[in-house]
Amino acid sequence: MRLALVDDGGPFGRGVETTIEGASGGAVAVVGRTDDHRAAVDLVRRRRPHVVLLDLALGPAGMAALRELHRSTPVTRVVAVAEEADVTLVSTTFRAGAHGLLLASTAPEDLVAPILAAASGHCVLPGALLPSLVGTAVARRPELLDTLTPEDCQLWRMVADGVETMQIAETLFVSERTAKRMVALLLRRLGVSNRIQAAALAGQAGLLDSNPGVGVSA
Amino acid sequence: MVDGDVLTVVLVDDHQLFSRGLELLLNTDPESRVRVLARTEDASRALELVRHHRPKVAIIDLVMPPPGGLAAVELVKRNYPEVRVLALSGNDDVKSAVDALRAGADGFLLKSSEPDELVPPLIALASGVAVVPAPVMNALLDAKASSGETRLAGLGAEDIALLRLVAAGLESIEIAEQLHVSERTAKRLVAALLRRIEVANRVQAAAFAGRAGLLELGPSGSPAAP
Repeated sequence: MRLALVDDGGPFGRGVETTIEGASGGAVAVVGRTDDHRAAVDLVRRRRPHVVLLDLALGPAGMAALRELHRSTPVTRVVAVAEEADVTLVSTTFRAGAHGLLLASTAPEDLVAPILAAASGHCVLPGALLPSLVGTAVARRPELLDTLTPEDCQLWRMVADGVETMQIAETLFVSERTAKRMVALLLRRLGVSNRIQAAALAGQAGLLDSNPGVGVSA
Repeated sequence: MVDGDVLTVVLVDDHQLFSRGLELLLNTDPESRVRVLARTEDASRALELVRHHRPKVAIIDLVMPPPGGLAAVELVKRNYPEVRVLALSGNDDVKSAVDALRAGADGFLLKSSEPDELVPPLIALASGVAVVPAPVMNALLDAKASSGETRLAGLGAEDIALLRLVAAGLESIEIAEQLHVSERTAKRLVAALLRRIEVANRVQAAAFAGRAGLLELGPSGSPAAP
C-alpha cells in the first residue's frame, strides 16, 4: 500500500515515515511527503499513492487541498488529520471527499490500521464522534414505531407534517368525519392530547428520519 | 494499540463456516496481534460470552435467528459499553448497518470483504476508531443533514426555549404568559421562529424539535410540557 503525507511537520514530526512503515510490517510504503498543500496534487500525480494522509491544521489550505485532491485524483483516498474534531468537521471533511478523519494526537503506529482500512474502502473517524453522527446522542423511541402498523405510521406522518383533516381524508379516500376519528384514535394510542404533541413525538421516535434503502457496496 | 497488547475477540455468528474461518484467520495473524477467545452461534449467548471472557472486541453478525444480532449488539453495549462491537452483515443493506450503529455498534463491515481485509478495521476499532463502509457513511451524513442540524445551529437559547413551548402545544396566549409579553408579541416571536427553522406551521415546528432532540420524554411517553 502506497502512502503519501501532506503536512507541515507538525502532527507527525520527523521520522514518521519509518515509524509507519515499521509498524505496518512492510504493508505500507511511504512514497512521498510534502509540507506544501499546493504541491499535494502534483505529488499525488507523480507518486500515485493509494492513500494520502493530509494535515488539516493549515486551515482553509488543508480543506482546499482535500477538495482539489478529490476532484483531480478521486481514486486516491484521503485520510485527513485534525488537532480536534467535532461532528461538524466530520460532515465537512467527508463531504469534501475524505475517507477518513483522525486526530493528530494518534500515535504514529496507531495510524497504520485506519490507513489500511481506508485503503480498502472503509471510512474511519474518531469513535467518540459516532454517537452524535448516528443520532444516538438524542433520545429515540424506535420501539414506539414497532407497535404501529404501516397505515398508522402513514397517518402519523401526515399529522406530523401539519396536513389538515380534509386533505388526510382525500389522501386516504375516506370521509372527513372518518379521518377525524382516525386521527383522534391515533392520538389516543400515542398517549398525546393534540396534533402538535403527536408531531413532536414523531420527531423523537425517528419516524421522520430519512430511510436509506440503497445498498452498502460501493 | 500498545505493543505486546493482544487484541482479544469473541465471535457471535450462526454461520459456522464463516465464523471458524475468521477465527482461524485472526488467530494466525502473522504478528499474533489478535486472539479469538470464544465463539457462539447463538445470539442469545452473546452477553454471557462477553461477561465471561471480557474481550476487547465482540464481532456480532446481524443476520441471525431470534433474538438476532441487533438485539445482541444492543445488549452487549448496554451492559459493557467499554467492549467495542463490530457488526457484520452479509446483507448489502445500509439500513441494517445504520440500525446497528444506532444500537451502539462501533463499526460495521460487510462479510463480503476479503477476509484479510477485516484485520486492519478490527485493529482500528480496538484503538478507538470507528469504521464503516463509505455508502453507510454517506447515509449517516444525509440523515444528519436532513435532521435539521444546520437549522438548529443558528438558534440561541431563547429560540430553543420558545420552540419547546410551541412543541408542547401551548397556545399563543399561554406562551405570552410564560414569557411575560403581550399575546401579539408572542405571536410575532413564534412567526419569526418558524421562519428561522424553515417550517410552515407549529405542528411542523414540533416535529422538528422532536427530531432535533430538544424535547424531554414525559412519563407517558409523550413529550413533556415544560
